[in-house]
Parts: sequence; C-alpha cells; structure tokens
Amino acid sequence: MVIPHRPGRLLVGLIASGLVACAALPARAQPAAPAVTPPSVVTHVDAVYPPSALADRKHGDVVLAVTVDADGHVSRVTVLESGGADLDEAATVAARQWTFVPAMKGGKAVASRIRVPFHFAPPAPPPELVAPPAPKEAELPSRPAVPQAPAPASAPPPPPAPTPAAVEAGAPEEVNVHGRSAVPSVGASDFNLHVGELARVPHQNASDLLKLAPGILLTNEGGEGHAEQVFLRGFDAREGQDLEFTVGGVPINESGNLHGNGYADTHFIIPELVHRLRVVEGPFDPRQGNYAVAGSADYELGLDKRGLTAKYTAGSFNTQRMLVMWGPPGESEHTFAAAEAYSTSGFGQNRDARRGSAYAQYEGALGTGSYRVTGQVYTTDYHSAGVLREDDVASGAKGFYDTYDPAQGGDSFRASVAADLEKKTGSTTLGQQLFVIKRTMRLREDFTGYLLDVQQPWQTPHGQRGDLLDLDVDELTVGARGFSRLSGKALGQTQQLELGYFARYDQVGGSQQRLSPTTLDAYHTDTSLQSNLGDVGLYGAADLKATDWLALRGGVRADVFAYDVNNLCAYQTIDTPSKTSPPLDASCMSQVDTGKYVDPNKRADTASTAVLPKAALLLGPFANVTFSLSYGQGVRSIDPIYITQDVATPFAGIQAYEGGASYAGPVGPVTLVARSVFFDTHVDRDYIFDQTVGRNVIGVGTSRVGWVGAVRATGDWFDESANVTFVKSTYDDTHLLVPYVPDVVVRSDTAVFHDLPWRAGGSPLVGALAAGVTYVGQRPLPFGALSSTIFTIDANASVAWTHYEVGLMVTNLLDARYPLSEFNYVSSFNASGPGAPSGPPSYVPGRLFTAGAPRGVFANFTVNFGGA
Amino acid sequence: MVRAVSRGEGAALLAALLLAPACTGTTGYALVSFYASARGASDAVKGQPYTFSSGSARVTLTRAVLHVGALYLTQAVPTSGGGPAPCTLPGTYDGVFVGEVRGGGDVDLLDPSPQGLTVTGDGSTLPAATGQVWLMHGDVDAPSDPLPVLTLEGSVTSGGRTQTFAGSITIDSGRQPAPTNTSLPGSSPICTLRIVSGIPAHLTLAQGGTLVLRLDPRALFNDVPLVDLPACPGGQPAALCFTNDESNQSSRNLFQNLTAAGPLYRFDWVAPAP
Repeated sequence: MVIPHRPGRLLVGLIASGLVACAALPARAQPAAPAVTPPSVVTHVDAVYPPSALADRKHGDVVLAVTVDADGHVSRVTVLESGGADLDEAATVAARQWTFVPAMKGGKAVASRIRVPFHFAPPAPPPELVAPPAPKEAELPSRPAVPQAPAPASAPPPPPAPTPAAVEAGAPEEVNVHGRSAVPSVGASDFNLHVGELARVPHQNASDLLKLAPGILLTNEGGEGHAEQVFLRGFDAREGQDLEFTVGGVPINESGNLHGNGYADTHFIIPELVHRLRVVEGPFDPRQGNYAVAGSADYELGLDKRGLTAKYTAGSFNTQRMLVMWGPPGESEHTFAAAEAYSTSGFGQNRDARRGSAYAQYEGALGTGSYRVTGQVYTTDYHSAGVLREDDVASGAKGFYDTYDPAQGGDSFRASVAADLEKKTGSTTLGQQLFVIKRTMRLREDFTGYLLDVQQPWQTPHGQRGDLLDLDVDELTVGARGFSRLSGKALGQTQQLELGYFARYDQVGGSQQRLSPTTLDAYHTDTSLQSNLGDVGLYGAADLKATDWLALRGGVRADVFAYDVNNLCAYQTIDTPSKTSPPLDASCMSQVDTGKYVDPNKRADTASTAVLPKAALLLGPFANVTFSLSYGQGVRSIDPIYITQDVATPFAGIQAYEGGASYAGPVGPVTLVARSVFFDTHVDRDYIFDQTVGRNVIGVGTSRVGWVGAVRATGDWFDESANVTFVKSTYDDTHLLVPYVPDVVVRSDTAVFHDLPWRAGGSPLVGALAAGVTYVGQRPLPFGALSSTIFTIDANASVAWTHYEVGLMVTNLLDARYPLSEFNYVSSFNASGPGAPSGPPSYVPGRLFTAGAPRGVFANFTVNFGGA
Repeated sequence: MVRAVSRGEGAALLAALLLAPACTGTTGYALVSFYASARGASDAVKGQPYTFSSGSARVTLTRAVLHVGALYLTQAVPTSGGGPAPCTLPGTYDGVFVGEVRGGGDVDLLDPSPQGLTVTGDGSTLPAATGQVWLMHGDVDAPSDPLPVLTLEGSVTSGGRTQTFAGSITIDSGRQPAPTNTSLPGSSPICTLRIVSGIPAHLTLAQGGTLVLRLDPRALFNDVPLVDLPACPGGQPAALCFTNDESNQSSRNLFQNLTAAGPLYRFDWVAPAP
C-alpha cells in the first residue's frame, strides 16, 4: 500500500517558516537491523496560543513526549519541558489531535515515542524574524512558527515518509530524530525554495530549477554538456561567474576555469534529487563568499520517495533517459543513491549528447548531531551547434537549427566526495565539512568563424585557418568549511552569534588553442596556464533581536585570495626575431627581441584581501508581514590570466542595497508567500562578453536598479509559483544599457494534483498537471538593437496508481521558433561549410543567435518498489 | 483641488513606475543597412572615349574597368611610419570597422552615372575616418588571383605620335615581394597589395543612405609615361601593353596608383531621403 503523499501539508509547514532545515534522521548511525523509521505526521493541529498568556505576551517552549501507537494515533502525551500550565495544556490538547503514519521496524508498524517541541510567542512577527532553533536531541525537527493571538502555536513539519505498515504489539520504540539548523533569512531576497510538487513542472536539469527564484533567465550556446548562462536581476552571470553555486555546501564554481573564473556546471546534479534550493539574490549573507555578486544558490539534495524508483523517459530527438533512485527505508530522506543515463540526438544539427551521473549520500546520527557522506561521479560528451548569423538564415544559406561548425562540442567529467557533520553541544552548534572535487572539461566553440587568424610578420604566410576554440581545463579542488553558532537569551529573545570559515585550494591547468575546423589540428595556442589558487574566508554573523518584531542580521566576511600562476605561453609576439632561428609559427616563443633566449613560461604570484560587510534589518510589526532593508558587499575573484607579479590581485566588488516587504502566512486554506523587493546594485568591474576569446572579459563598472515581485501559493491540491522582475542595467561611464541582460523576466510554475474519481484495484488514481511559463522581454543588444522576446510553455501531465506513474511531458508546447541567445558582434562564417572562407569577410557587427529548442514530446514511466 | 487617486489610477501609476526603468535607454549607436554604388569620371560620357592630359601626353581611354571586390569603412586613422598594417586588425573588430559592402563588381570608369554594386552594405552609426577598397576575386588571402582587377584600352599621343595601349592588371602571387627579412616571412602578405586602405572617408552611415565610391581614371596615369611600355605580344590589337611586373616605369607606377589611397578613390555619402 502506498501511503498518501501530503505535499500540501508539508509545504504549509515548510514555506510558512521559510527557514527550516527539515532533515530527519533515524536513530543511529549504523543501526542494528532492523532499523526504526520514525513516525510521520499525517494530520497536525496547531496549538492555540492561550488567551490567558496574551496579557503578559508570554513566550514559552513546551516539549512533549508523544507516544504514537501502531495505528498512528497518539496514545499518550507527557510534558517533558514545561512552559507553564496554560502553555502545557495548549500544546497537549493540540498534540492529542495529531495522527501519524506509525513508526516502522522491520517492515512492521510499531508504537513509538517522540519528542515534539512547541514554541509559543505572542503576536505576531512573521516567520522570517524568527531564527531557526538548533536541533535538540531526540526531537522532531523543529521550526519556529509563531502563533497569532489567538492562533496556532508551532507545528513541526512531518518527518520523512514511513515505510508500509504492519502491526506489532509491544512497548513503544524511542525514536531519535535529528534535524539540522538553517541559517536565518537575510531579507526579502532570500528565497528558501522547497521544490515539492513543483518538481512536476518540466525541468531539464538542476539549473532549470533556478527559475523558481525570480528574474532568472537561462541560455546555453554551448550544448547540453555546457553550463547554462545565467542572467539574474540585470547581471549577466555567464556560466556562474557572478553566482555562488553550492550543493549541500560543496562549491560548484570552478576557480581558475579558463572559460570563466567561477564557471559552474550543475549538470552533474540529478534534478529529481533536488529537495530544496536556497537562492539569495544579492550579497547579503555573511556566509556568502567568492562569486556571490548577483547572489548565491545552494542545492539541498534529498529523496522523499523511499525504496527503489526506476524512471524511463523517451521522446523527441531520439531522447532516452533512464534513472534509478534508491532511498533505503528506515533512513532519512538525505540518505539515497541515484544514477542516470541519458542520450539524445538533439534537435537540428550537431546537438547530440550522452550523459551519465551517479550520486550517493548517507546521513547518520552522531551523538547529538548528524553527519553526511556524499559521493558523486558525472561524465558527458556532446556536440553543440553554436551560433548562426541571422542573415545566413534569412538568405536560406542556413536553416534555423543548423550549425556552421560540426566540430563544436566537448566533454566533461566531475567526481567529488564530501563529508560533513553538525552537532549541538549545550547552546553551541558546530558544523564542519570537507570536500574534494576532481573536474575536467574540454570545450570546442566557434563564435567568429574566420576572423582571428591575423597574419603576423614572424609567421609563415597563411590565410584564415578558422576560429574554432579548443579549451581544456583540469582542476583539483580541496576545501573545508565550518562554523560555530552560539545561542543565548537576551532581552527576552534568542540571540545568535556565528563564527565560520571557508577555505579552498584549487590546482588548475588550462589551455586554449585554435583549431582548423577541417583537420582539427591545433595551429595556435592562445593560453596555457597552471594555477594554484587559494581562498580563505572568515566571517562573523549575528542574529540580534531587540523585540520579537525587530531583528538585525549581518556581519562581516573577509576573504584572502592568493594566486600562483605559471603562464606556460607567456611570450607570443616578437618584433625582431632571430635571423638564424626565427620562431615562425610557434605560439609559445622561447626568444624575445633580437633572438635573445627566454623560457616560454613566466610565473606570477600575488594575493589580496576583500572585506565585506553585510547587514539586514527586519521588521515585523504586523502579523505575517516582514519589511526588510538589506545592504551587502560581494566579491568575485579575478581570472588568473589577469594577475601580475606583486600587484595586488584585483577583484570585482559589488555593493547592493534593497528594500523589501514580504507576507508569509495563511489565506484561507492556502499558504501564501508574497514578496516585493526594490534593489540597487553597483559592480566596479563587470564582465563583458568577448566573442574573440569566447568568454567574458573585465570591463567597466555597471549599476542596476529594479523591482522583483514573487508569489507562491500552496494548497492541498495545487502549488503555484510566479514572479516578475524589472531591471535597468547601465554602464557607469556612459550610462548606456548593459547589453544582453533582460529587462523583464516573468516566470510561472504551476502544479495541480488530486485524486481522480476512478479507482483501480481499490487504489485511487492520482492525476497531476504542471506547467512552466516563461516570458523574457526584449534584451538590449550592442548598437542600439533589441532582441526578440521569448515566450515558452512547458507542460507535464501524469497519472499515478499505487507503485506506478506514467507521464507525458511537452517542452515548448506552442512550438515557438525563437532565438534563445542573441548577439551583435563581428563574425565571418563560411555558410557553405568548414574550410577556407569564400568571398569577402564580414568585419562589422551583425546579429547572431543560438536557436531555442522546438517542441519536444517525452513520455515517461516510473515505478517504485519497497518504498512509500 | 486635491483629489484622491483611484485604485485604478494608482495601479496604472505603479505599473508605469515599474516599467519605466526597464523600457528606456539604449546601448548606443545603431546598426544600419545602406546602398552602395560606384561612379567613373564625372566629366566622362558613357560610351564615349575619355580624353585627358597626363603630363605632356594626351591620353584617350576607350575602356577602363576596375573590379571592386569589396568596400570597407573603418575608424582607423592613417599613420606614418611603422611597418605594414596587417590585413585584419587583431582584437579590435568591434568599432574599428563601421561599414562594409561585401561584394562589388566591375565598374566602368568611363561612366559617370551610379553603378550599383552587387550587394547592399551593412554597418553602424559609428563615424568613419577612412575607407578600404579591396581589389580581388574571392579570398583576399588566396595566393593566386589570375583575373584582372583593372582592364584598360586606349591610346596615348605624345610628341605627335599616337600609340594604342592595353592592360590587364592582376594582383597575383607574382606581385608578392619576397620578404627582405627571412625571419619575418609573413611581413608582406599578398592581401596588403589587394587592399587599398587609408582612403579618407569622414562620414557617418545611416539607414537607407548610399555610399558612393568615386573613381577618377586620370589618377591612374600620374607619372605613367606609357611610351616605355613594351610592345604587346603578337595577336593583340594594341601596340603597347602594361605588364604585371615592375620591369617598366609605367607598369610600376600604374600599379602603385592603383593600390594607393590616392586621388583615384574618393568616398561620398548620400544621405537617405527624409
């Protein structure tokens, strides 16, 4: 039997708080078989804040021991920690009305006893003002919801789904459930997104889930194995260079990646494993470090569905995907293993791809805390179509989905292991994490055709040999992070102080050559670097509350960036070569003027420090409403290629200001979270795309102002997330618009799900419909031009019955033929194919684009065994 | 009198405030398309011989055709000294070239009327400083281009004697000088001979306008005495023939006049009709 999934209730609990780390763990790290699965809440009733306590605006915590019988009913409630008679009574009355899926042991339902904390507070600061408590031993993960007067008291979210039931008589099992603390919100731009039912909306990959946060546009000119380019709030974050990506705290940004310092490829993340996503749109959290210029995104992985789940997808473009996921019954949702295999021929020309990814994580209890061990391997090989000139498509020389250069594409590998633990001792919570990442990638891209091969005097005479860039990166990252958070009472409020650190070392090799597209021979080396990079950051963060409706959060972070770069191709030009031994066509020369010998490499080392203050003031004078003012400075370290010996490492700094208001609370049966944010950001050295090197290069300062509105409404049968962002991004020197960043982005994700009026074999059929709608306004392009708008709809329909689910997914439902990326720059391709250019080259800017995918139809079948 | 703002007005005002920042501004300048044409001597009459003085001689052209491969406008300002400029300018593409006509055709230098080139032009509204005329068929870097870029037929009268002449000027591999420095074998690529650069062109393109290349055939004959030309090979109607080498002053100077940014070339801009 499948226990009915109640995501709506889950979301009520989670979204209303916006702060919860809802990890829940089984009793022991290495449980002696059979393990005990904790009971999970089916029905919970909020405690009512007792009117008798209202006069004194009394705060209190009550901890109950709740015995859940094998039928899932509460059979006994005792007070473990009293908050006073009236609060004890209110909590007990509420708890007695709860129902559970009973605890499971050896596949059978058993009685169990759990600790349930209730927190009572007078009206009515909104959830964002309340710091999440550190987990206590032997209690359900707690969230700090605050009751209204008279209103419900805290309602702990349900623990993970249980295993199928059977009944066994006996004494109750003592079930220890451990949670992990979450960091407090830093304002209205702190989006703690539980994917939940919105996982039903078609998402091609983990990056796609970013769209749940406002203002994000994803494009990709590099193919399925190439990281998505992210536009966010007026930033062209390229492939993550302006957005700090982490997964479970492990960094994804690749320091020293030659394609872009901070390049972040999230394709190794299996999207079905993304349980929660925290997106902070701005540098407002002291825990944010390098690359958090436009903001940060942290993926939290988990697997709700226990047991073995197999999913097969097949559809358009000869696409096939097989996914196997295993969530061991009796373990927490953070214990899982999953593997996927994917292949596609791709739409149009030269878009085939193959991908494999495996991910495993184990979470165990460790005294009063928990630990996690994570391993991951990912590999892909793909081709990409690259850009097309609009005039060639208009003339019929090229089709909309064609390519100029079939040699474009690449491969990518990533393997990582990580281990972390979090533990509470007294009033102090400690966290530590270690990670090791090995990553390689090769990328072949051609942005310009036949332009860059300038005849240099020392070279033998040649024509244009082609601009196919062949980039190779090989990286090893080792790092750690940790924190210590001290909680205490002052002014009648819980105050918190956190000290933490982050450290990473990167050993990176990178080279970029130019290839002849016909022979794939490398004829020139543009860059060859070996880099040792260090980043050590320290921060102090405070969460101070003067009253229950006023909080000041913030701190200071300092990062030291150190570089040791060996440029293996330091000498590439020469005025007067040796007459007896000229360099001719060598890229990396071993002589300088008049033929004087020099080794072709040159080292440089340097370092510098960035100090980043951040602060957020949160006010909640009205029930469920929070006003916030936030300020923060962020930093992006510079590409190793730009450093000079003993010159302080330059870095890009950002200053960000914003004011916002948010509402989080019930509206009838619906849980509503709504936000409105005005923001103003300034970057002193922004990146500007340079097609001649295939990446962004450092430019001048930019500023942006804008507004974000976001709503998420969750009910028992639906989940809706919608957001809109307006932004104007300009250069500081000319006040002209920054090209390529969209000024309007609208996104809606909708899922509706309900039991259908039919049953089969006594079990209900559950139907679901989901859609993701994207609108992107015209993006400014260089030379006063505007791009086309984008409007796409992706949809999914599914029917589930017992262990099985079938679905039909349609991407680009309207089959819109649209350019996903558009550019105005100089290019000169030979539309008739690779080889020598024909006719005069083009030297003035023209419109180029990468095609968005046409309609795709995909069927999927999912089966789950041994879970719930 | 002050009145309350209605809910609808308030919503409209809010929407306007929100949309205003997003809908204004530009990235600067613009991309344009324009027409391109070429004209021969302004005082010539189409179909009629064209006679002019060149030094002490009178030259009459009965045929003068220049093959234009492409036209470009740039922001580059001519500089004196230094080595030869590369055919393409590394790393400075955006903004350096502000206009291009990627095709041309044969231009009758004895026809003063506009002769449309085979393609329209593309460019930007960045101001131009100089122009380039590319004299080639096909790839500007190709070692071999045996087709003539200039065809001449006419006669010269000097010292009371009139002689016919003809020329089919090519820019083939034979023109390429051997590098004077063996350590710089690429210092004189063939493309530098085929690209006439540094032609003054102080103009700003606009959508729908016309770029006019004015060609004055008289300038071809500066310091070209003609009488030193060798006799044509047998079978040719003309008496004297230009050669595609530097064996005589007339051929050498004609080629120099052809490939220099001299009075032979002039760019004009005809603004679009309002």
